[in-house]
Amino acid sequence: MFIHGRKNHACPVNGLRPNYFVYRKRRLFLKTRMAYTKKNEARYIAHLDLTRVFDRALRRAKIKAVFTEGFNPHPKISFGPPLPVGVEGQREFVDMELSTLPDIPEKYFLEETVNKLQSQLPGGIELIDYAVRSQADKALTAVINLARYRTEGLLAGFAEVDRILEFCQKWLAREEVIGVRFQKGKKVERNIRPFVKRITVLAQEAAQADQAGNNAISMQFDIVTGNSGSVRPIEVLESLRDLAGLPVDLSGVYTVREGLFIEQPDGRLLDPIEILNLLAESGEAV
Amino acid sequence: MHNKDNERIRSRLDRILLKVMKPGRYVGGEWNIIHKDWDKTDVKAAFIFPDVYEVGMSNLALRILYGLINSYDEFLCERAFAPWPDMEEKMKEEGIPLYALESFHPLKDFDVVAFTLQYELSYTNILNMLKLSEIPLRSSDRIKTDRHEFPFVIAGGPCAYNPEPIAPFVDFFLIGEGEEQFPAALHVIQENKNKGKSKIEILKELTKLQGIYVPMFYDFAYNQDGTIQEFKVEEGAPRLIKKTVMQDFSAAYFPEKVIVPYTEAVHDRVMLEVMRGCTRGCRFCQAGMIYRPLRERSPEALIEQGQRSIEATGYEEISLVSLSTSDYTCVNRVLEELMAKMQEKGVSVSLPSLRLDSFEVKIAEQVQKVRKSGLTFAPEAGTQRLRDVINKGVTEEDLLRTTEAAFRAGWSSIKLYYMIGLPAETYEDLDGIIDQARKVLEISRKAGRRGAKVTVSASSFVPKPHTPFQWEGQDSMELLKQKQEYLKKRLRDQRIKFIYHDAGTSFIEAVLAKGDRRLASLLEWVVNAGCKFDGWTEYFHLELWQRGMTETGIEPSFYANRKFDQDEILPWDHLSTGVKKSYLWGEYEKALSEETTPDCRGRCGECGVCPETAKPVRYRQID
Repeated sequence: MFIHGRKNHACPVNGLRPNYFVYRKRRLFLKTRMAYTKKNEARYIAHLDLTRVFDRALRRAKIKAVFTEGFNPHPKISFGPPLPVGVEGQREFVDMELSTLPDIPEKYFLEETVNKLQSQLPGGIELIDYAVRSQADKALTAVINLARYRTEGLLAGFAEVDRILEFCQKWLAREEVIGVRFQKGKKVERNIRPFVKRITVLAQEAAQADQAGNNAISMQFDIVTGNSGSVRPIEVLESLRDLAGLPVDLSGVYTVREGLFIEQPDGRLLDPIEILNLLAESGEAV
Repeated sequence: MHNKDNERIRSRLDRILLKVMKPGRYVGGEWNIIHKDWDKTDVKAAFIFPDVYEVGMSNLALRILYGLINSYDEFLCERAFAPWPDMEEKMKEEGIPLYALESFHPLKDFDVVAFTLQYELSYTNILNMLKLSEIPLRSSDRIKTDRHEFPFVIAGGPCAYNPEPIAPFVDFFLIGEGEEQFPAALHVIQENKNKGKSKIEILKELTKLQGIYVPMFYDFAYNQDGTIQEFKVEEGAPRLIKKTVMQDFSAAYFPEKVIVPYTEAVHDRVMLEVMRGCTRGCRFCQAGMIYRPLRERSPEALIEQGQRSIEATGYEEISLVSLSTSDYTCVNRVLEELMAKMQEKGVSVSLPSLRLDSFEVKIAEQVQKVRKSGLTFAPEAGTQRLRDVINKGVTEEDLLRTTEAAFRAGWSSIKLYYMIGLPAETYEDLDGIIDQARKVLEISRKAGRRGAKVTVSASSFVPKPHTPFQWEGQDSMELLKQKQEYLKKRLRDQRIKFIYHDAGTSFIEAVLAKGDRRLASLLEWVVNAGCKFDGWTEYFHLELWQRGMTETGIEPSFYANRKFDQDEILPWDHLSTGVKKSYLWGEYEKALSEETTPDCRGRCGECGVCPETAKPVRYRQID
């Protein structure tokens, strides 16, 4: 599983401790994938700032990242699809290329690295899973095609689940739904309907109704993500309110991304780390 | 007393943070943030940078004083910045007062609220921030009501050398370097507050410290023509307030564990302060006068601090900062050693502004090893005559030689900084700027960089207190605009980018820089009218300022454009940088007769700072 550095040096044979001086310059490059949470204060860290956050944490932890060549070398760190600022992430992904020495067992190195890195990451970012990527594995953004979000919000007044489902069906029945978004002060209009794969109403409890007669409602959105763009769940909620008449109060909506998946042609949802483990077990090449 | 204030603010914040730009500015929680026990510290200070988070977090004074004050068990220091107008609006809607980023306590709950005065155009933000904190603007209003209902509002930094326009709003100013003085002032507050002394009593006690200026103990009388007739001092307060200086700069506190913001700051890197002060004596430069004498930090200390800072922060860049880093005696050695140690960590080393004459090819090659961003040079004026007037000791030859070296070393974009409206400037000097830009392009062609770009930046000269040009008047706005147009027309070239500053902004800057206490009512007026973030083009409203001047009876040209008399009492005469007024006047006269003054490392110019204020410190380079 080790991927070699520029010198293309052979892997050490078990039990033999290689001469340090021979291997000093010939570090091994290991491709890793980690899953992390992005909660509490960390949810306000913008996606564009995340590379810096990880790069600096690696440097503080004295973990050597692999850098790109050229005048402005930067660490080989890449993330999955961006999480909107303010939205919490329960299982986000990052790929990092790290440099290790040939005499350190891979499993031990990874465990150590995760522990060291965790101690230098901001509160709210917790490493929860990790795996080694195979050489030919594709980038996260190239494979992840589905994001699952949960929103929790308030409904003005009570509505039966069936009624809410009806709102959603009415909305999903449309072929085109124009969503308006402001990007750098410019109004951008696009069809957001194709991005919404499924809407599930998770819970809607009348018991939680507050004195003003508002009800808590929790919904799940499976959203298509990838190179051709995506949509934020809050936009979908807004559209549900405006077009289908769902009486939701947008100002107090809490959003969390529960997971990112690689949806298979047969509809199976695979987790980006799960898929690496499966491949490793079956011994298949990607 | 206000125990729950912070929790209330924190919970309300979550409701608005998603509706504002860059919410990361308002939640703290950064790496290396210091959280101290609110109830276990005697004096609670808030360090306030009156501009937006990304600008404030780049400030070296904040980094130094934040770490330093928090290193005392008895003190606590938190941070606050000016909320961007979108956030301000939402905070008002939710009834959230201005708070500090560490504990979310409102500023009103602190014992000391300390503003850093980095530029005049932030004055409106200071007043606006006091308003957002529900703290009365005027010192007299805060003191008359009670003993300690409101915090001490204090200020320091370069603009404190003429703080008169904001004097009525500030309880006391710290004049000079704060490393020893700031904690000393906090100790006076701590001791006397414990003894149950009133605010006035504490202020009287504070005047015994060097460099403490309590404006309410001073008063001015004016002549018919508006100039100052008399300067009155209350008994017990010093007539002349002299700045404080760090004598042993190598031993001065240096913050290694600086806060690393998640939202990118303007200067988002480790800043190693290689020296304080500058020996060049450029006549327009306030920093060059007020930070005298030159004190270098030992190369060993710097290399050590650099390494430890990278370990503590994980930053990917170290910048060697000072007023003129390439003048630092051991710059080559520090650069070489730091780069040797940092390269494998993926850390680059950079130099900020560079002087033309000392920018050696060797240094160019050094820095270039790691990163090749654009280079900036500051000839400041277009002709040798005018450079002699301002005592900018560089020649055109220097410029061409070093830019050639830079082009050959691989750079392809060069920025040239100039000032327009300098004393004794003529249109020939403007032609000189055009000429120089062309010559630099010509050189680039010869050096084989055909696609090279030259950026010409022209800022407008603002006469500053405590400089030889403090008596000078600024060109009128109309004249500055004419000069900008003149350059713009003649710099039309695809390879040249011409940028210039808004003349109105520079005009207000000049009014405030040379202003006196009578401007306080104007500041109140414009802040009530909505002025804030004047340094940001999109928020600067000249018309509001002009209306405010009419309303409050202020004649702006009296401050900005008038030449002050030699024997006039200047609004800042009671504050001393250690440089003699007679020296400044002598330099002014030499300027007008186009005479230069050499770098004081060669021959002492007898400005009065050494050795009375402090002795200069330099290290020897052994190659």
